[in-house]
Amino acid sequence: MTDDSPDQLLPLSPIVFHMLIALADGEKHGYGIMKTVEEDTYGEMRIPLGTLYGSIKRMLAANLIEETEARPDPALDDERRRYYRITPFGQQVLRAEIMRLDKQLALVRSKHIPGWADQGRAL
Amino acid sequence: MNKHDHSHSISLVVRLIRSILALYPAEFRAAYEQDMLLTFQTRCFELRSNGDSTGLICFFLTTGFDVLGQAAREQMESVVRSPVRGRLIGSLAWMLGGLLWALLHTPIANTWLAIPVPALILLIIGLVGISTFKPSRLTSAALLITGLGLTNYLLGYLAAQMNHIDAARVLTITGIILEVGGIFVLAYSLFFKATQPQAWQSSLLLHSIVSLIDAVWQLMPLAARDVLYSPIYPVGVAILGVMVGIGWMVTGALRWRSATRRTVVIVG
Repeated sequence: MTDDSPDQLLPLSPIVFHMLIALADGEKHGYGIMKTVEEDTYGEMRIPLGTLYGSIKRMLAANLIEETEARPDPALDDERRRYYRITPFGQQVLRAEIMRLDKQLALVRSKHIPGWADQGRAL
Repeated sequence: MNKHDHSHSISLVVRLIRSILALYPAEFRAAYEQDMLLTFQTRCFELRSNGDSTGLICFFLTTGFDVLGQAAREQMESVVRSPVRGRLIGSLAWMLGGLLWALLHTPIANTWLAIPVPALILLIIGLVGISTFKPSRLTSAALLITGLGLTNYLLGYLAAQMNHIDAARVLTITGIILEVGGIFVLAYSLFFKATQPQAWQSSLLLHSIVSLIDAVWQLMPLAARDVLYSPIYPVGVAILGVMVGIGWMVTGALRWRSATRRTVVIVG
């Protein structure tokens, strides 16, 4: 996969999007990503183990994330854990996806969808 | 459930997940298996500390099914990336197709020529595909094909014991075809590509022994009852076993001569 244009990877799948959001505020290991996504979505999205690591592998291949050698206090950490952080290209892709979603939200707001008045105001 | 029971159940589910992770391709396992197990274990301990036994069971089941699906996906991706693996699976699929065709369409007759031509074509294409492998893989492929043939023999024997003579006949015919295919691949490896004499010699020995056991096994119902199905099949298998056994002895002798000559040269 090329890293020339972030738009080529859009739209992101919900799982990849939330994983990038989880990594946006710092590096994390697999379990940290799983936990953060669950907390961010108030338990609505739980990434199963196989899907999590399959996504990590594909995101590494797409240069959205990278493995980092930096670790927290070794006494508090298990050396078998692998840590990941978002790459500059991953940040570009995330920004592009947020802009895309923002445009869609603006479109929804501009429409008068029957039965959605209250939800529309909440948006 | 007390703390000890929880620890026991967690170690059990971790072992189960570890065994399912074995379905992933080797390169994926090398990169992520330890981390995956650690993540799974951490989550289990977290659920345990919350006293959520139901959650633990749900998490295990969800993870198990998810890992099964993802392992299949990774294997598929691995096949696409690896031409050799793709060719192996493709060739075996041709052969399996030929086998199924033969099993479903072979008329009940006492002749090997009764195998439908399309089934033979499928089997031959599969064999040709396999014969393009490297020597190190050829022996394994030959054993795999032979194993498939021997399974047919076993099923044929069971069918004969249950007096399903027609089914026994078809299974035996296809079993022989596969075993001949296995020998063909092995011979191809031996005469044209072999670089690992130890590997193919042990394969030949195994092949010969199993063929002879097969032949005896098939002759048993013939001896015990009236002729259940034509003795030509077990006799054919016995001849194959003897021929391969002779091949094993000849190749052993050649190896011994070769080793002796090399020793003489080194000593001289």
